This record gives sequence, C-alpha cells and structure tokens, in this order.
Amino acid sequence: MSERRIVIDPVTRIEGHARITLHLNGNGQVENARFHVTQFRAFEKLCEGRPFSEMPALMARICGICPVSHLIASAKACDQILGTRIPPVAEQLRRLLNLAQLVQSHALSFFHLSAPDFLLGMDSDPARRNLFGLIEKHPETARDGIRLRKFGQQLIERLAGKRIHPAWVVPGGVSETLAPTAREATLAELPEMRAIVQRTLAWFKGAIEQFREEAAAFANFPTLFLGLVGPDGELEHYDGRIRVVDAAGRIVADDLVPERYRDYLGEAVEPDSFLKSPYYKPEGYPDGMYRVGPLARLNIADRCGAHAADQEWAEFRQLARGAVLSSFYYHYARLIEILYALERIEQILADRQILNRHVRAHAAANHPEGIGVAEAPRGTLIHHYRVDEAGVIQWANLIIATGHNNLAMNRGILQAARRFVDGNRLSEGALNRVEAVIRAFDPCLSCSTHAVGRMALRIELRGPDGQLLDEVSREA
Amino acid sequence: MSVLILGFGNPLAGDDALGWRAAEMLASSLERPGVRVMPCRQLTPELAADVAEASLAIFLDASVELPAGKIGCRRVTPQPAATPFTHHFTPAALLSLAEQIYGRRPEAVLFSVGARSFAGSQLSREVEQALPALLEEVEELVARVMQAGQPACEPARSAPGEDLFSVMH
Repeated sequence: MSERRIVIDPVTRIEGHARITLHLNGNGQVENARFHVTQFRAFEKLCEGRPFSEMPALMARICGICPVSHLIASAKACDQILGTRIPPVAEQLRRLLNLAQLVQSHALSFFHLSAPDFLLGMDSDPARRNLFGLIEKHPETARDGIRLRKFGQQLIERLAGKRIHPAWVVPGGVSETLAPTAREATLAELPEMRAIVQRTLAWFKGAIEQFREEAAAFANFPTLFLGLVGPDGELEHYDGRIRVVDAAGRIVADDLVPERYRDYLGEAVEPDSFLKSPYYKPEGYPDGMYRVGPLARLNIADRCGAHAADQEWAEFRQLARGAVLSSFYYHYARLIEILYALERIEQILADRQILNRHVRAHAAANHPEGIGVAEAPRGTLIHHYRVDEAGVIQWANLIIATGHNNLAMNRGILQAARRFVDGNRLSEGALNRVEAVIRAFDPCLSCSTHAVGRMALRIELRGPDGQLLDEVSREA
Repeated sequence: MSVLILGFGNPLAGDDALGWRAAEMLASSLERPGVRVMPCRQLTPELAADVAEASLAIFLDASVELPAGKIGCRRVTPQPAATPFTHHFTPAALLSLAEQIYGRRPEAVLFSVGARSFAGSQLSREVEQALPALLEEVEELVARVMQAGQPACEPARSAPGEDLFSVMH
C-alpha cells in the first residue's frame, strides 16, 4: 500500500490559523506529522521606514491577545536606541503591566481554551466541548476563569488606559503615572484572585491522574529549555539573563546576554510554514530544539521568588527527577505562574514608590541598534531594530515566543498522532488529542483571531488514488 | 437603577468605529451616578459580569442591515451563542452568558447605525451625520429611565416589541 495523508485544517482553540498534516504509511500508521502556520503578517518588513518612536504602538498591533508583550519588548529595544536608563518606577510599572498580561493570557488559555478538555473530557461531544459547554456543566469554573481574566485586563486598563492595544509603554518609560485609586482597587481584589487560582491548582493537581495517558504522549520527550532568569536564578519575566537547561535539569548555558541572541540562536525556515524554527546553535539544526514558556521557565528557574508560588513550584518539580518533560504540564505551569504573578503584583504595589511621578526619560535616537527581550506568556520574545541617523527603522527581526516552540510542537504532534491516531479508523477524540498537544503550548499565531471555542474542522483520510476513505468533520 | 452603555467596534475599520466613537462621546455627556459607559473593540465573555450588574444595558453598533446612516433600535433578548467565537459574540449571547453564569440579566436595547464602509480610519459621511441623532436618542433614553427609576426599553420614537427592528431616523 502507498502512503496516505490526513489533514486537520484548521487547528481549533488556538490563537491564529494553522493546519496539521499527518502522513500515514501503507499500514495506516502515522509516519510523519507537520504543523503548518498558514497566516502571514510581515511586521518585520512593514515597519521599515517608520520612526522608531512609533514601534511600540505599531508592534502592539501584531496581536490582540498579547499586545502588552510586544509593547514591552519593543519599548526595551527603543530604550537602547535612545541610550537611556528608564526611571526605576517606570520599570516597575512595566513589570506590573507584564504580570497583568500574564494573568489574563494564562487564564484565557487554561479556563477558556483548555478546561473544556479537562472537565468535559477529551472524547466528549465536540459540539459542547467549549467555553459554553463548560458554563453549562461547571459554571463555577467558568466564572472563576472569567473573573481572573477580567482582573488581568482591568489592571492593564488601569495602568495603560485600555485593554487591547494600549500605547502607554513608550521609549524611555511609560506615559502616565499610576493613580492611587487604581493601586488601592487592585490590592483589594488580589485576595479573591489568589483564592481562585489556589482552588484551581488544588483541583487540577487532583485531576492529573485522569490524564496520565495524555501526559505520557503530549510532546513528552527530551529537549532543551530556554528563558530569562533573575540575578539569583529566580523566575523572571521582564529582564535578566538567558539560561538554557537540558532534559536532565542540568544548566547547559547560563548568564547569556539576551542582546547577543544571534550568537546562540539560529533561525531556520521550513517551506511549508510561515512560522520560523529557531534552534540553539551549539546543538545545530534541528537537534538544537528547545522549549520556552511556562513549562520552560519553571524548569530553568532555581525558585520563583514568591512564597506561595515557591511552594507550588517545589511540588511541581517533584513530577520528574530532572526537567519536567511532558508538554501536558504547560497547563499546570500556567496556574503556578498566575499565582506567582498575583504575588509579585502585590509586592510591587505594596511599595508606595510605585506612585512616583517620574516615569519617563527623554532623549533622541543615540544608537543605531536596539534589542529588547522579555518573557511573554508563551515564552521569550525578542525585538531587534536598526535605525538610520534620523531614527527611521531600516531593519527589524522578531523572534516570537511561539516560534521558539515550533520544532517541539512538530515533534509533539507526531508523538501524539502515533499514540492516538489509527489511520484506518479515524475518531473525533483522536483528532482532538492531536490538536490538544498544540493547545498545551498555547501558540499565539500572532493575531486577531480569538477563538474561545471550535472552528470548522475537517479531517480526511484519502487513499493513494485520492479516494476518500474516511472523514471526520464538524462545523463552527 | 444602573445603566451600562457598551459601544463596540474597531476604531480602525471605517464605520465599524461607530459604537466605539459614540461611547467615547457619551462617556463625558452622561457622566453621572448610575451610568457607566464602556467603549470596547468587541464583546468578550468577561463583559458578562458588567452586564449582569446593570438594570439596563444599551449596546451601540454599526449595522450592515440598515441603509447607510439610518438609525435603528431593537430590544435584545438572550440567545445562546450560535458560534463559540468572540469575534461573533453578540449582545444577545452576552445577555445569555450573564444569565447562565450570574443568574441575572438586565433589560437591553441595541442601537444601530447603517454602515457605508468598513475600510479606513474615518467614519463615512452618512454615519458621521447620524452620530448626533444617535447620541440624542441614547441620552434621552437614559434620562427617561433614570427618572422613572426602572428600565423601559422602548426608545422614544421606536415601535415597541421584542426583536422588532425599527428605523428611527
């Protein structure tokens, strides 16, 4: 028998547009799998010719889910072009914004996009396996998710004026101070938010056993892990140095200067995807596969640096002797990071210096190049710009968090497809599990598409002559 | 008595900015206790909490059903989302969500203005001209319900009736 092919198009409950192709051998077994990102945004090219001062606001348009992450990485690159050190309170305000973004984005991923799989079941009716099905069966969990996400968005709004595409982060700092009323209102809401994440953590830890099969087959293999850590090896999302850890949990490289990312990160391009495939240069391509994001951050850090999150982190690390390898545990890591973010928000707001009015340094373009690196909810985000003497952008390079995970996502769907897909008889549950591997990474394919449920989906099994052998489909 | 005004649309998509623009303007003209105005890009599940707390919700949006520049209004009743996408999240779905999650929902009305174009960052001439009349309608409705102390969904010059789309101007 000849080879056959299964196409999952589009992949559902992710941010953006993608499809998956599964290649079967003559016995109906999965031989290869590819994750294709089919949308093209071209921000690296379209910003050429724009004044660098416009970059944070322009780059925030890359995405409606994580505009804050692009704002921050872009502003950090622009700070370098200015050649200024931003005021300390401006840095703290940016940190607050980044943490608020982490809360709302992780809450969206966990409660809105993935909880339907956990609570309704991987094999449950796909027509109800979404946020609305969750509301029907588990209104308390749905309410918690909505409340937590609202908190994150509200803090973004209190800081930056609006929830989506705020332009408050500017080269040299931020444009406005924090209002005392916003500080007080946020501090007052924190106990409720902590209670939500702590009860969700308690439930999820108890439910993990039910997903043993998924944990074993959802991108569960050795890779490197990469991300920023603070000066004492603690969890870090705004600044710090790059650390690389291997599958055994050993530090492979530490204290790497983020601005010199090109020394240790390569960017490969595959013909069937618009998503670049970065790799760790010393290991070459594709062996230099690494993962970023919540799972990676908890694997590379020595501790969180916040009391309750540190306790959860210690328990999380007990899942494995070395690094925690299964990408299913991205979900678990997200909850711990939400807890961490809430604690850090409290720490930052507790200091009344946060109300200081000196929030911006002013300068003209003093350097021809700037590189901004920060941790977005999905992983390490790099913005790199070159400008001419007038400060006009001549060249830009972006490495988006999701891109770092591209190689691992591809290998992950292959592993899950081999475990769950029988090419001779397709099932909706198998299809959902292959998609769920991608959802575990929570990829943001850059964009405005914000799916809280399912998209139309079709999976076809065709014979060597193109004959349709089997089909699973569902409508939006 | 509390009134929530949700004007939604994309400020960078021509007449789609109508709801957003109108809400921005009403935020200053209707600044008073009991009235909350929220301009937003799109309706999202998180807004269900705000909707559930209101006695009357007023939605403002551009419409492809009405002739360009025409103002219409209709009462909104809860209807579960036909599609689980936030990009297609409707006022009716938001009401339904508020009812499901929080066990309560407000009376609600949707004001719409017929759009000419969804390109560019400007409102079309027809929609720009309709804006003052729309603001007047909303202000009048808010004044009336605040005075009465209870939600009354029928705007001044619309025919009453559920889901009846009435062209007002």
